[in-house]
Order: sequence, then structure tokens, then C-alpha cells
Amino acid sequence: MTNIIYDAQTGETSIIEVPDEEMSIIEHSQPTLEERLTALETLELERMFDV
Amino acid sequence: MNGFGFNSNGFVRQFLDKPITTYTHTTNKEVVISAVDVDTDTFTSVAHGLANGDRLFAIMNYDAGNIYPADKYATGAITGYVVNKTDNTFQLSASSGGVAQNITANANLDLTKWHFEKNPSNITISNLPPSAKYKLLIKGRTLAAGPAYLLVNDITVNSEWGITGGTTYGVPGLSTSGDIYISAEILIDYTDFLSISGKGKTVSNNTSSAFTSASHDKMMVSPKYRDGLITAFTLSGWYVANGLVVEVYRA
Repeated sequence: MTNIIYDAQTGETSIIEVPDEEMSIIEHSQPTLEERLTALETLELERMFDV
Repeated sequence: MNGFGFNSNGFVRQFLDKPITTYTHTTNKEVVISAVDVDTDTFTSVAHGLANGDRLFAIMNYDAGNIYPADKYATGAITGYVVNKTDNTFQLSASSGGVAQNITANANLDLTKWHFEKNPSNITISNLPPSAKYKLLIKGRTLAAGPAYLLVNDITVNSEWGITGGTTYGVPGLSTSGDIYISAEILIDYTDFLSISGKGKTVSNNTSSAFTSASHDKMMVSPKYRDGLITAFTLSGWYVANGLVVEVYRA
């Protein structure tokens, strides 16, 4: 099977060929506490102003 | 980059008119058929370059000016695995290495209306800024009928609410049998509960009603409290044709 990985920040596309019986596991780093707080604060601001 | 402005009540409102990122799918190998032999169930495509076991999907030709059924080249078939290939011909089977499909003579074998494409298994939009909500606009040339799955890789998944017992979630409204999706809007909200809502526009894959369209709108919500951030999406690529565009917005 062929998996396409598109990087949203660099715009680069990678094509990964893997045997049919294998699923590629895509590793993602967990968001930091700071990132979570920033995202939640953004949501709160949107809720305040989005009427 | 998003901007800010004022709505009709004078409140500041964030514009969401520009996507964070846009992915255009162009990597499918395209195979144009020059002849079909219904007696030997064989397709001809000079120097096709395919290998036995390659999985192909019939994709309609928009250049032909029609939204045309993609599943009628053979009875009940929209896809098949290449078997018995030569340099210029091949057959298709319902399974890899299986028996060749029977091709029946019918009007849908009009070779000006469709071609084959070798699709990817999955398309992952990765490295997104962590966010609890995202909206995807999928503008298809073809999002064909069938189970179009969305995988949200960033979350820890319990089998109790994963449709397949893993990390795979059926996109609501995108699995209507018998239709071909030409556009879809998916909203993922990972605050309090994980909810995935989808609505899409389809056209019938029936030749007699090729221009009949329908809308679908559904939502799925996880049965347990969840809260998290999303950094990646994976779309099933089985039915994705070249030209498909995925726009990702903060929602």
C-alpha cells in the first residue's frame, strides 16, 4: 500500500510504500502543556467574540 | 493567516476565510484504457507500467463534461487488483492474485468517460498546529461511494468508541452506498467530547440519473468525555482521485 504524508507546515509530501499487511504508524509528539493552554485560550477568546 | 473584523452586531469576529494549509492530491498513477475485450475480460493500455497486485479504481473523466458513473465498467465493480498483466494488457480481480473479473458489454464501457487510477491507501495531513477544533473542506473530483474513513491520530483511542476497534472513525455521512461524493465538509471538535460531523454532496452513480445530486449531513459523538488537541488527520485514500483538494481550517 502507498501512504501519502503531507506536512502542513513545510508543504512537503512524502510517499511511503509499505507491504499490504503493514500499516504505517505515524508518530506525533504530544502537545506540550503550553500548547494546550494556548489552544484553550484561543477557544475561549473565540467563544467570547463569536456571537 | 486569519484576520479579525466586526460582525453585524459590532463584535470582533475572527475571519476563517483562509485555510491553514491546502493539500492537492496529484500522485495517483493514471491508466487510460484504449480497448476492452469483453470476451477475454482484458483491458488494453499500451506500456501501462502496472504490476500484478496493483489496485485500481475507475475514475470518471471530468474533461468529458460529465459527472459519470465510475462503477459500471464491469458488473458491480469499481475497483480491482491487476492480474495476468502483460506489457500492454491486464485483467482485474476482486482480490489480489484472484480470478479475473467478468466484463460485460454495456454502455458504461465508453472509454472517453473514465480511466483508472492507482490510489494511495491513506493520506495524512500532519504537523498541524495543535488545536481542539478543525474543519476540513474536501473538494473532490471523486470521493466515490464507500467507507471514507477519517483517522485522528493524535488521540488515545479506546475500542469502546472506535468504530473498527482502533483509531478509525467512519466519517458520518460519507459512507452512503451507491453515490459519488464530489465535496464534503468535516468538522472535528475535540472539546468535552470528540464529535465528528460531516456533510457532503453526492451525485448518483447511476447512468440514468447522472446529474441527480443529494446532500448528506450526520454527526457522531464519542460516548465518553474526551478533551484533546488535534495535530493530524488521515483520510482513506482508496477513493481519492487526482485533483482532490483538502483545505484545513481552524474551526
